[in-house]
Amino acid sequence: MGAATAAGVPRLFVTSLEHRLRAASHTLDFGRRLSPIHDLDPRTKIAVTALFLVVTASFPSSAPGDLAPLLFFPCVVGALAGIPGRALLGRALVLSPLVLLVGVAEPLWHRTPVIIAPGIALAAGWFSLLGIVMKFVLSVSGALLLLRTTPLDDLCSGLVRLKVPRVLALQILLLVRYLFLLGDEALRTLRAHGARTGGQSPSLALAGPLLGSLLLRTLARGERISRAMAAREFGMGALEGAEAPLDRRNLLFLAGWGVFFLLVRLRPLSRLAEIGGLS
Amino acid sequence: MHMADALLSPAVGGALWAVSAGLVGYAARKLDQDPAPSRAPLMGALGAFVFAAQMINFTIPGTGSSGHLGGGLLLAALLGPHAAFLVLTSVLAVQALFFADGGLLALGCNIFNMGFFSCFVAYPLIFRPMTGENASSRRILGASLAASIVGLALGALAVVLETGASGISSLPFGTFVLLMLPIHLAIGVGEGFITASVVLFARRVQGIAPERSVSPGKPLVMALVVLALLTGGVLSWFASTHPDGLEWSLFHATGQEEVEGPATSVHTALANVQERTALLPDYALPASDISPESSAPEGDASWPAVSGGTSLAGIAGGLLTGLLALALGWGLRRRQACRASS
Repeated sequence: MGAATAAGVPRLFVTSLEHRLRAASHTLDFGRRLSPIHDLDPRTKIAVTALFLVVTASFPSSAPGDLAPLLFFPCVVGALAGIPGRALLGRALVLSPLVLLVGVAEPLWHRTPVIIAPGIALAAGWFSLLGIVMKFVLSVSGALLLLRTTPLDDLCSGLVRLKVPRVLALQILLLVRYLFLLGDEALRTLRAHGARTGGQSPSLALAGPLLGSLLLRTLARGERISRAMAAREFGMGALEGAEAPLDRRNLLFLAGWGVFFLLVRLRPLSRLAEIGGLS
Repeated sequence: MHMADALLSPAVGGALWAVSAGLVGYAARKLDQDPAPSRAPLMGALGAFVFAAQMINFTIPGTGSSGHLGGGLLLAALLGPHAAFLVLTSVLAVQALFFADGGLLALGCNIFNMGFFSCFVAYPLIFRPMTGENASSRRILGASLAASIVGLALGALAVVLETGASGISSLPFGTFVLLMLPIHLAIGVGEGFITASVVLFARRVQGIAPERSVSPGKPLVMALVVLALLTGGVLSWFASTHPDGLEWSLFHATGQEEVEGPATSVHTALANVQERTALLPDYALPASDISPESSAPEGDASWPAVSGGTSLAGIAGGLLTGLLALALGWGLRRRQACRASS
């Protein structure tokens, strides 16, 4: 397992939890900033992000160059919102295991030769691999951009106004509120275990006591909060928001990116290159 | 086992979004009908618990590997399948929004692969019938193992089918299944042990037993009907030699007709040069006197034909466009910083 840190705590699993909590905290901070993008209605941002993801997925992975114009979306919107590039692309540098498995298999299985210059040929799978990586980077940055430009409460209200069941939106909101509380408890438990075992990771035999005690504390806390909220007449109305129509700025944002995505999809770079006689 | 946006076509991603949205609506309606007081805070806390617990890896003796709690089965045992499905959906949504795990287009697939199979198949069809009233520790362990293994194996199979139906991967179906299933069977064993030990600990310490409020009949029938419909639908996409997702992509991909040009002397000459000097020696063509396009094996027939010139031009153009996008982003960022400082 992971190497021990100076404090005698197993590095791999503790830092993975710590890292996630820190990243979640940063995400919430980004979402509360002020910028022209943050000011937009969450429904507009949800719709544009959905369109961006669908258009990205619609490209064949064998044409990685065609995906490049879509980089304008995270670059421009991220810049206008004041989100640093590393906050969007840092996560994309670590490919998911499934993407890695499918991507690496491409050059091995899709071996149709593609002549790229006299005397030089590559298996078509290399282009597919590049396309899959491009799609991964774009979809990750698009997904991360949404919550980094929208406060979580607004996003959940927007989801309710888009007819997502209220109980699910409220569940997401509450999960995030309790996440830091329970994450801290889990970290304390792990640190205590690490301090007593010289930094070793817990064995399977400890799963019951370790997770079980965390679960019991969770249940007790959940019941307590539930009673407190009921006493304050907290209910599903917590996510009610004004049904304001979209103003001109929102409509412009929606229409502008919508037209751009459609143009990129219907007039891909490879087609333009052919028309220009480059191929 | 998170499915990723990069491996999905819009058709498959959209279809699984619709299926998962239907399941979320169904679970939300069932919860609304529940006369019990609102369990929202408890569900929120349990969602946070699963989120944190998934980050804690336990060493599995004798294997050199580690495993973590999946959560679906445990949640179903504590809250019932409907609330558990919603809690797991919220965990997956938070993972997608905060950390881009899987992605937003793949969220429907991930909810289906991890939530549906554990809450609406493995729990009501395996775990609950096997445990019943006052089950022994051994029965709970057996039920957890069986339910976790089946739930994860079905989820892994769904990942293979969804990727295949999207037409993104060149991996043959059999090879992909062989790569995915054994590792997920092993993960299922680890998850089964962890789930059982948490359930047993909670029962021993505070007498918390698996939920009793939900009738097992309706979820069972519902799970069977939906599973049959979906499996049939997904399998029929996969059985097609030209899957919907790929057809969609092919239809909209540009230049395919043009790049498959006639076998002119230039093409043939270049192909000959390529055969002698190719970097990858194993893709020798079966007949050297025919063009690379026409000599491609049948299995490649449905793949988009790739032209080197077009690909290179596309990549070069893409590189320039990407640089332009980055430069524009950098310029805008500078402008925003100047405005903020002035």
